[in-house]
Amino acid sequence: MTTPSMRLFDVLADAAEPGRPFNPGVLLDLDEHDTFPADACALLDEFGLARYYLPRTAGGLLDDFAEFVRLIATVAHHDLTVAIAHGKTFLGVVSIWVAGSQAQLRRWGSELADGAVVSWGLTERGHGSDLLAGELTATRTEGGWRLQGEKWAINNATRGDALCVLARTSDRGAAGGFSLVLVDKREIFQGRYTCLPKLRTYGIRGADISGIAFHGTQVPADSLVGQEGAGIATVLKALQLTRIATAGLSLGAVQHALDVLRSLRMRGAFTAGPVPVPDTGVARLIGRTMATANVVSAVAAVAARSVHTLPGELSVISAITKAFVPSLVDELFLELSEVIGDLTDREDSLPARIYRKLERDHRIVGIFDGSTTVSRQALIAQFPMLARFYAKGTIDHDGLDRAVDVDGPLPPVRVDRLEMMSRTGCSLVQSVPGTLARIREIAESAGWRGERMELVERVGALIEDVMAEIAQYQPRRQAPARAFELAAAYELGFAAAACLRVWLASAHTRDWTWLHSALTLLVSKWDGVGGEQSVFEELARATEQRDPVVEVARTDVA
Amino acid sequence: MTTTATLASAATTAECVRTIEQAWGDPWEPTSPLGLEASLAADERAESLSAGQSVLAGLGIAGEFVPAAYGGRLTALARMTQILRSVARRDTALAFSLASSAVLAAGPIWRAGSAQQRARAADLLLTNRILACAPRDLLRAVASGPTAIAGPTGWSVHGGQGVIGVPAAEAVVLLPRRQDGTGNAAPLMLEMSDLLAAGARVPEVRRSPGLPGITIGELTLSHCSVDAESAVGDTDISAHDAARIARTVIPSMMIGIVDTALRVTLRYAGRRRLYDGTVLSFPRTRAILADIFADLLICDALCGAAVRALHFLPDHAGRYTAVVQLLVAPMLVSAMTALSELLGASFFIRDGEFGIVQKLLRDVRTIAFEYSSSRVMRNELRAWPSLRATATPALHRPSSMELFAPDERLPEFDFTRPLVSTDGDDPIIDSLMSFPEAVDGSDADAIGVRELASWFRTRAGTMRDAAGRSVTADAASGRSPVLDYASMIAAGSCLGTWLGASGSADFRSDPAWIWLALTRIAHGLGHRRPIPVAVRERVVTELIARGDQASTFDLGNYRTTI
Repeated sequence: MTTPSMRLFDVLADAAEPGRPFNPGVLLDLDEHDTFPADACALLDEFGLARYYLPRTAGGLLDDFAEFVRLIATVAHHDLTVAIAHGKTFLGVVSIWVAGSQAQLRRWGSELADGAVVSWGLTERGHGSDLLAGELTATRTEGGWRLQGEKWAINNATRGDALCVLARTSDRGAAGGFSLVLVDKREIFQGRYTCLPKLRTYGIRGADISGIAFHGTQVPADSLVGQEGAGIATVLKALQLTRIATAGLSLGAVQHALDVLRSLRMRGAFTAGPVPVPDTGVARLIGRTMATANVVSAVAAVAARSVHTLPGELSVISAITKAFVPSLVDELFLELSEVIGDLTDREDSLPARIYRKLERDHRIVGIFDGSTTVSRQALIAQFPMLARFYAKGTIDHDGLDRAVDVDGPLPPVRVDRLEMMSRTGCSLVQSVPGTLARIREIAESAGWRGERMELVERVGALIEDVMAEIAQYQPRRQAPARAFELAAAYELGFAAAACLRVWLASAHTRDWTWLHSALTLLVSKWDGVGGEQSVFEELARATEQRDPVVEVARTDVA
Repeated sequence: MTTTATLASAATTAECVRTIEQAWGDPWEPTSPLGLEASLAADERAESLSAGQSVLAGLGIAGEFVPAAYGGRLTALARMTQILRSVARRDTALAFSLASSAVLAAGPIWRAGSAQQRARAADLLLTNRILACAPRDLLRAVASGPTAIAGPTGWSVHGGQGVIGVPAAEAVVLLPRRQDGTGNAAPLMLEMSDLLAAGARVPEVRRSPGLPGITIGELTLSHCSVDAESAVGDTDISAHDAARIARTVIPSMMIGIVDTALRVTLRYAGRRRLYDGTVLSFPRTRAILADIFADLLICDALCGAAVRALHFLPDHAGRYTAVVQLLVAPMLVSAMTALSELLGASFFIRDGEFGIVQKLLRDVRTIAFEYSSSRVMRNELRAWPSLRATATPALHRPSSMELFAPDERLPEFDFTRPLVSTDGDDPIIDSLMSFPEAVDGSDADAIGVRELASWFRTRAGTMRDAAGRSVTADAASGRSPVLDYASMIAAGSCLGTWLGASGSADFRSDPAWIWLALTRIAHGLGHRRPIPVAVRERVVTELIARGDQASTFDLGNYRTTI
């Protein structure tokens, strides 16, 4: 069966030809001139990518969140700026999906099909992630609402046709004082708003990161998205979806890095220079990149499928995904930089430029939409609950089994089942003792060598240690530095559990090299020691023969 | 202090730092042609900061790079390094250009050049003219560009290479390859006018994408004949020894870049309010800042020991400078990355008062990853006897404490002395073996530091026992003996610096920083020991105080204003 991401893969491969919008040279030139990749975005419009930004109930095409993540990854694989610039419309309309009226859903479903660009206005100058400090106001008037104030550092604030704005609608300082207002710029009298200048950024240089100021701007009464005062709650639920979607950006970025490595190898760059890299070194590097891609794939797939099957646990899963995935990839890039930077004979050679842009662009993923720190704070806030459910062994078996069976069917997404805070903890991590028991049985019947089970048991022991310390954690107003380390360790546990369960669920393959390399990578992050490196060489060799098209187009986890 | 002070009248390193800082003025002043925003703006325009160049020329900085024997004031590498670091605090491209000319290009000439070559190099530097080179090749001591073929009256040089400072340079120092492909020929010092007359061309001049303030000319030589006297010595030894010096001087200079990034981040954290406090009030922020400050002190202790080893123990210095290059550059990249994460979205914006940090991250990455090479350092270190043969720990020699003393009182550096030895003896490892006993006291600080010092001693002992074993077998386990060794040297340098300062009122003697520093180094080796929150808090308190007083964040703790 041809999936949408496979079709998009083919379309983009064609569009990467010389002179076409996705050609690497074209995209690099735009980036170097801080210029928006308009042609590339137009090509995605032609493909109809935005139709996957809303579910079928709204006339959209999104019925599998994992496939949606793969679509994002497919674009990101070519260019993060384009993926972020185009994907922003998903963030723009996600609040409508979560809390909008039927009329709003129908309208924006059809607008997206026509190529409308929608932006999401949350942040303000000087307040960053502190949404409750927002100063932009929406005041009720006879005909609707009047907006006053500005939103800043907003993706597509200038280019967008509309934006969904978080506004203060009452003097109550707390969460209940905010509402979401959908502003259709095309319907506002010119002059009642001003777009703020594009910010020059470190990465995604072509993106329209700007802002908008409203000067008593009048919008109709039906502009409110969700109930008055429900703005923060809607945003927090919407972020559960967007934070999982951003995993696609990191996944595409790792795949792009893998391409760079392979192309450098094909050109003989590793051996041509005056300081050659030995073959085993190259294989390890490629293997570690692949292992990172596999781990990200597994986490992304489980998280995205959980949107369908474990919606009540997304407050945990989304925070983990958003903190863990970009950090893992940034760390990989640091490792690669040391070798790639030192390879290219000229610092302005094409692979060097591509890699430099890729690395720079990806840094935004750990910053926007809830930075790593913000996501870890969200996780830390849930520590007592996570410890309680881990001790109890609470598991939503049905939801979890379907989340990890990455080729299985999925029920529709129920956004009405999203919770501000999980009521069942995190089934995946809570299921680890049972998962280990199942693997022990397999090990026994298959007559595994000792090292295999040792590695698996080591993962189990590390998770036990983390949970024991989390159980002792006393919540306080400002989380201590140690809590952030525990959050990072919990994320590793989640990722390891995802790999173990996905591996178990793929009963027909159960490729040991896949699991071995993924767990080795994760364990090395836990205890800071590299571990047995030869597994990465093995992984690199084992996957060399595979059809790259299939590998890239799918979240090929097994 | 008057505004006419020059470096010639600065007797101490502290005075050098202050002289430079005062000449540059307030870094925060947005309208200053020498402020951080001006440095950022010049970078965005892909120009060098010309106002800075004039200031440095006015200070007589050139004299600091020419050995006293050839008319300059250079006697102590530590002073030169601090001066470069001070420039790096204000503008990376200027500092790197200076280092490229004065350290990389001139290094082989001081080491093995003829009297005429030395006089010419001195003249060029002292008159602020450009002595160009391809810094990657000279920092690695690995030729990658043109080939030199010996002929009856000289050399025929053929090939192309990007050279910093070409075509404006008056002379260039090239490290050519041997014709048979077996490595480096002897370096050549060539006059640009001669090269052009011999048919050399510079078909393309570009900006370094990683350091746009720097111009790179694509020097293309087509069987150019040059005189036999162009060779700097008979072999490439001069390039290797000059690289050994540069591998300490350049990372040490880079500490200045991170110093500024830390200063900007501290300012951000103190001003930015999130939720119900400043970012600086968050325990997590304080822990990260303390760790970064400790990392800078580790880097400086290591660089300091390596620089002093070049003076006192040249036979051993080569391995220490390789350790510096291997450890310090990546540590500085990590520190910059951590700072950028603290700044969050403010890091990502290339304008305004925090916009400089993203440029500084790029600068550090460029120098660490694109100009230097950790692979070359690993290869160099693997070749050292202390990693190959089992060496019996020598008795602690009191003289090795000289490696850890503050910067003054250095004997004049002898550029002509070889920096290689086959001796397996290792003064810093020897010191490390005796340090636990030197940690006095029974309070929590002393116990914490002693425990870590003992851990490092045990680890160093294990390393020595294993030194005879195959390196590749260890590498397969993911434990790199080279990294292990480098970390021991870092720990030894820190402990030596701390013990050497004991009894002084200086922060160097404070147990808080050494405790945190050793914890950080041990952590990198997989030994994860918790450290009391209060210890980190003492380190961050010092950092904040230095930020308020505009003092530097290195071991020198120099006041930048009166």
